[in-house]
Amino acid sequence: MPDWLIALFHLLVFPGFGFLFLCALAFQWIDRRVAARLQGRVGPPWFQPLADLIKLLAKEDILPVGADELACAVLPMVSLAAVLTAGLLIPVSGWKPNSFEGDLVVVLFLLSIPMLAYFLAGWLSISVYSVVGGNRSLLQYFAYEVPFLMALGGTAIVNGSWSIASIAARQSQTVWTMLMQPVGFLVAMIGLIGKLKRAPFDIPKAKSEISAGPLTEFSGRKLALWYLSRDMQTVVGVFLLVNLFLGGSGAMLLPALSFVAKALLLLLMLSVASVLYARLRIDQLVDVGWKVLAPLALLQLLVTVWMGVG
Amino acid sequence: MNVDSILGALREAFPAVTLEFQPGLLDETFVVLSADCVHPAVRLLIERFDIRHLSTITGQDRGSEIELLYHFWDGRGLTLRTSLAREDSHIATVVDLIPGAAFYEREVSEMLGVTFDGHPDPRRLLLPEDWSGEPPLRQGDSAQFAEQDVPSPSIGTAIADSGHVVWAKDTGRMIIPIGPQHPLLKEPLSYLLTVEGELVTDESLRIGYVHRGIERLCQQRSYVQNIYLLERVCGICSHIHTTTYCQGVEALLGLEVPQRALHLRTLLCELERIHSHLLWLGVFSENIGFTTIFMYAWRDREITLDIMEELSGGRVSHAANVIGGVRTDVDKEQGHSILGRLEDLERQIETFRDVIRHERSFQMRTRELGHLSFEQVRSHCVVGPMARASGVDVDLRRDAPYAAYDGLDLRVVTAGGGDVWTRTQMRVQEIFESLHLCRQVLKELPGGPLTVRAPRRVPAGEVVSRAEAPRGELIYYIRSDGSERPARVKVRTPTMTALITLSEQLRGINIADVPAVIGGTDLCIACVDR
Repeated sequence: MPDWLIALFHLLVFPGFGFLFLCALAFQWIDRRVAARLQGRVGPPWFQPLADLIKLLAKEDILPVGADELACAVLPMVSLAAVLTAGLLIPVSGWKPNSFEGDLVVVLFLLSIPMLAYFLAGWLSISVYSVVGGNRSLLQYFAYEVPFLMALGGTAIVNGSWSIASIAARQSQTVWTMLMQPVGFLVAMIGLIGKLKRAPFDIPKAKSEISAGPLTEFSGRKLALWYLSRDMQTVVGVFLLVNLFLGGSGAMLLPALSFVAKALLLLLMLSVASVLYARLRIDQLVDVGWKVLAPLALLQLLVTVWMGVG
Repeated sequence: MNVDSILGALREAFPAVTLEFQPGLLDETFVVLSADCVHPAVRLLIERFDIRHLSTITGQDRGSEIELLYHFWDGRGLTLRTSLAREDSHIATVVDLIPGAAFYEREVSEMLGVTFDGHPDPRRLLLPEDWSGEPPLRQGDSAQFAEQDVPSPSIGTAIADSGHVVWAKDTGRMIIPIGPQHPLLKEPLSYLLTVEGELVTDESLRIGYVHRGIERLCQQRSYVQNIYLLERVCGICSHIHTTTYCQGVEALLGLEVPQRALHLRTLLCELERIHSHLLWLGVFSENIGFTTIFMYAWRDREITLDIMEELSGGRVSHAANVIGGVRTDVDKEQGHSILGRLEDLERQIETFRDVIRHERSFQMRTRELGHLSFEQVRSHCVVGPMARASGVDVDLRRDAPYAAYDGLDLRVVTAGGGDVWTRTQMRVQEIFESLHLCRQVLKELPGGPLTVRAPRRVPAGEVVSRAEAPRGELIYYIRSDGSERPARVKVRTPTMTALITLSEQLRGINIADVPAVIGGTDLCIACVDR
C-alpha cells in the first residue's frame, strides 16, 4: 500500500476521525447510561447519541444579531480539529503511528485549545449568559490546568520520557504510575473533570444559573460540532490518562482488550463522580484548585524528584 | 392576644372617633376605623402589643365605597376595617411600619384603584404594564379610569430601550434576565439581576405572568363551583386551598363537619405537604446541580401521589372536599396498605436527611446563604417554613387548629439558622412530622358520616379562614351577601410573603447562588398570581 494511503487511513479511520467518532458516541452512551442507572432512571438506548447528533445537524442554525458570525462558525471547527489532532498523537492499544519524543507537551497544548475556543465562543456570541459562562470557563481553566499539568508532568519524570508511548511502555517493565503516584492520579482525574466541564465542575454551563453558558446562542450544526468536540475530548482525555497512569495497553496477551477495559474504568469513575456531588461555585473551585490540588500535585512532584535523585 | 386590652387601647388612642367592634366567625375580631386612623392604629398595634404580622390587605367594592380590611394575626385574628370614598380613593401607606405590606398594597392599588400615599414602589404587581381602564375588582367606574391610566411600557420594551441586553463594557455591569423563561424557573416570573463581575448588585422582580383573575372569577360562580376553581389556584397544594375555602363557607353556614371528614381532610393535607416538600427538595437540588437527589426525591414522591390518587382519583387536583365534608373514604384494608407504604417512604427520607446533612458539596452550596434574621422575618410577615427556619415559632396547625389537628400530636419544627441550609434541613424534618400525623390519622380514624347536608343558600356574612399550607399561612377572606355567589373571595398565598424577602436575600450574592436562594424560598408562582 502506498504511504499516502496509509496516512489517509490513519487520519480518517484509525486512530483518526472514524475511530474517535465511534468512541465518542460509545462513551457518551455509556456515561449517560451509567449515570441514569445510578440515579434510578433507565437511560437512553444505544443509538441515542447518534440520533441526537443527526437531529442537531438537521436543525436550523441561528445566531443573534450582532454576533460575530465568522468566528462563531470557525470556533467549533477549531475546537474539533485540535481535539482530533491530539487524538492522532495518542497511542491506542499499542498502536503508536505518530509517536515522538515530547508529544505529551504537544497533546497538552492541543487539549487547551478547545477551552480557549469555548471561551471565545461565549465572548463573541453576544449574550449575557454566554459572557458570564465564558468568564467562568477562563477562571476554571486557571483553577484546574496547573495541577493537571503538574500531575501529568510527574508521570513523564518518573518514567524518564516525554513521549506518551514510551511512558506507557516503561510501565509494563516497572509498575503502573497510578500505583507510584496515587495522589498525582487523583489530581489528574479531578483536573480532567474540570477540563471536560463535567458535573460537579460544570460551572461554565450551569443551566440553572446561566442557561447553557457560552453555548447558549449556538444551535444546529455548530452546536453539534461543539458537542462532538466535547465528547471526543472525553475520549482523548481518558485515553491519555490510561497511557500515562494505567500503563496503556500493557504487556498482556490482548492489548486491545486491556486498553478498553482500563478506559472504561476511568469513564466509570467520571460517571460516578458526576452523580455524587452538587455543583461547586466558581470561587469554590478556584479555592479547591489552588489550595488543595496544586499543593498536592506539587508535593507529588517533589516526592517523585526526590526519590528519583535518591 | 388579649382582644379586650387592644380594644381598650384603641379606644383610648382615638377618643374623638367612634370605634366599632364586631366579633366575627372563626375567632376573628373586626375593628371599624376611619381611614386616617389606620396608620396610627397599626403603629399602636406594633408598639404597644408587638402585633406585627399583617396577613394581608383585602380590598373590596362595597357599592357606595371601597372597603379595606387589614388582617392581623397574633394567635387570633384581628381585622381593621376602613372605608374609602369611591372618587379619588387614597389612604396612607403602612409600608413604613410593616415592610411586608408592600406587595399587598400594590395589589389592592391596581385591583381597586386605591392610591397608597407614600408607597415607595407603587408599580403594577399582577396586571400588565399596559393595562388600562377600570381596575378589575371595581365595578361601574369605567368612566373615571378611562382617561386616567396612561399605559406604561411593558417590561420587554423597557429592557430593550435601556440597552442592557448587551453588557456595558465600560462599567463592567450587565443585566442578566432570569425569566420569564429560564431553566431555573418551573413557573414564569421575571428577575432582572444587575451584575458586576459575578456579584448581584441590584434586582427587579416582575410577577403576574400566570395571573388568571381567579378572585374575580369567584364572584361569578356559585359556592360549589368555586371549590373546583380554587383548587386550581395551585398545582402543588390544591387540597389546602379547598380545605381553607370550605372551612370558611362552612363557618358562614354554621355547619358542624363530621369528625371523620375532618380527619380525612387532615390526612390529605399532610400527604400533600410531604409531596410538596419532596417536590421542592428535588427542584432545589437540581438548582444547585445535584441531579441525583432530584431524581430520587421525585421518584419517592410518587408514593404519596399514588396514595392520593387511590384516595381521591386525582394525583394533583383531588376534588376531595365538598362543603360540609369530604367525598372520599378509606377502609380498613386500604388504611393498612397506606401505612405500609408510608413506612417505605420514611426509610427513603431518612436517606435524604443523611445525605443533605453530611454531603460536603451540598453544604458548600447552601450554608450562610440567603440569611433572614428573626427581625426581618417578623417585619416582612414571612410565614411557614421560611419563618420557622429563622426561629419564629409559628404554625397554624397548632396555633389555630383547624380540621382535625386539635386532637393530634403535632410537633412544630423550628430552627435558628435562617439560611438556605437550615430551611433545607427543616423542611425534610417536617416531612417526618407529617408522616407522624398521617399515621395518627389512619390509626385513630373515627367512624361516622362523611358529610353533612349543606344548605344551598349561604347567609350574608363574612369570614376570615386560615390554614397552614405546605409553604405557610394561607388566608381566605370570604364575604357573602346572601345571594348564591360569594360577593368577594380574597386569597393570599404564603409565597407572596417569601417573594418580598427575596430582594434582600439576592443583593450582594454571587450569581451562582441565585438558584440556591430562589430555590430555597420554595416559590409557587401560580399561587401568588392566582
